Amino acid sequence: MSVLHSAEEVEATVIKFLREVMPWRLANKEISHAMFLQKDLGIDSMGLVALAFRFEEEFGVDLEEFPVEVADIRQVGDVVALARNMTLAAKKSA
Amino acid sequence: METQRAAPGIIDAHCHIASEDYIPRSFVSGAVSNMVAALTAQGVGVTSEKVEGMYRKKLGDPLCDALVAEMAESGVSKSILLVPDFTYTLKDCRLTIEESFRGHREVLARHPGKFEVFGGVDPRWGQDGVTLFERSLAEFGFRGLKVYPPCGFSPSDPMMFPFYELCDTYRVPALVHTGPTSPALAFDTSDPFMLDEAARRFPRVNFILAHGGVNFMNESVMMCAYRPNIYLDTSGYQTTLCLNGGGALRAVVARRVNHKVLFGTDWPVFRLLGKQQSFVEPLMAEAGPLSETSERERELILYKNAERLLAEAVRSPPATH
Repeated sequence: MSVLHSAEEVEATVIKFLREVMPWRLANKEISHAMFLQKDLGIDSMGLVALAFRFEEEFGVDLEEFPVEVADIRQVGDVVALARNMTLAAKKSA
Repeated sequence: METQRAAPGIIDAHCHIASEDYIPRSFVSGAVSNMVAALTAQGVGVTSEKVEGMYRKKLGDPLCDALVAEMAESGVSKSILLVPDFTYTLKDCRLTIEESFRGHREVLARHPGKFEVFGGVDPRWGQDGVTLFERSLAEFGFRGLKVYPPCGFSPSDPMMFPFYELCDTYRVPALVHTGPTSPALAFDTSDPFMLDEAARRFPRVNFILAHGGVNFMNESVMMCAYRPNIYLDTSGYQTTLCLNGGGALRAVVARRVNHKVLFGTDWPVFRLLGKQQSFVEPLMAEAGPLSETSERERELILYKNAERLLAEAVRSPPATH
């Protein structure tokens, strides 16, 4: 588990995790907040679940404590928002 | 966020009530084990307990109130609730199959016009099961038969014939599971061609190959093309929604048997991965998997094929029965 201090670090971690589950042929694609995970980044259903658990591992929080569910995450911006909330929760419990 | 509206009047031909009353824990545990294996292989640290806990949280809608809300959001006007009978094979079912039927009857009453129910009874329950199925058609308002071969029988086993005779009499379809399922059950009785004898013997009964748009797709399409009374549903297509926009579904509609294809989602199986709206929207997208079909074909797939199959049902069969 890493300790993230800034919004930029959180976003960089999100982008890194997204690239881990994206199709290899999109490796050089620029990623923006408005992009849809499935439609634009080719992340399939298992990729979404893997992403959720990676966040749990990275930020040391329990996904079940978050009102935003995996099923509600559609765009990159949603993922960044979830990661930021998780970081704040991890800091509070530290 | 993209808000493309789904077409009105969609019929989801393959749903289940999201409740552990009807989906036993052994079934869920088996399905979860596959997910955990895939995640673990990718180096993601998960436990079966964790994933199963998340999945079971999604099985808290015994009266279909949440499903009705998601139907409204996604433009689905009616869903067909399927009742597979696990009670002969899986020993941790909470309810008897008759109790399950009564629970589904309660949902029909609670949400008038929103649902149809296809009830299933394991043929090894004998005449009691046949009697229960007929009651479901004559008294409970059910409109079809659900057949689940992975419980350990062929769909063309003569034990099934009394059920198909009732389907013929009451003019209702039979929806038959094909392909793999929870590893708690068998896969060797779920090849679509195992249905062929039943389809030949009961030419007036319409059979729907569940998941035929994804499992054994080539075989299912062949059956649809050459047997007048065989159809398939698309449920399970969600796992193929990716950058190429629904590869499996796109392949099915390209085979031009769209007068035999029924839209279905298998709710709540994929509930962890998205809401109904997220599964319907991609179908309506400009470059989506239905974009190469005509407007008429799209209507057939989304609701007219299902409407046609349901419209034939009779509540009181002719006196010669």
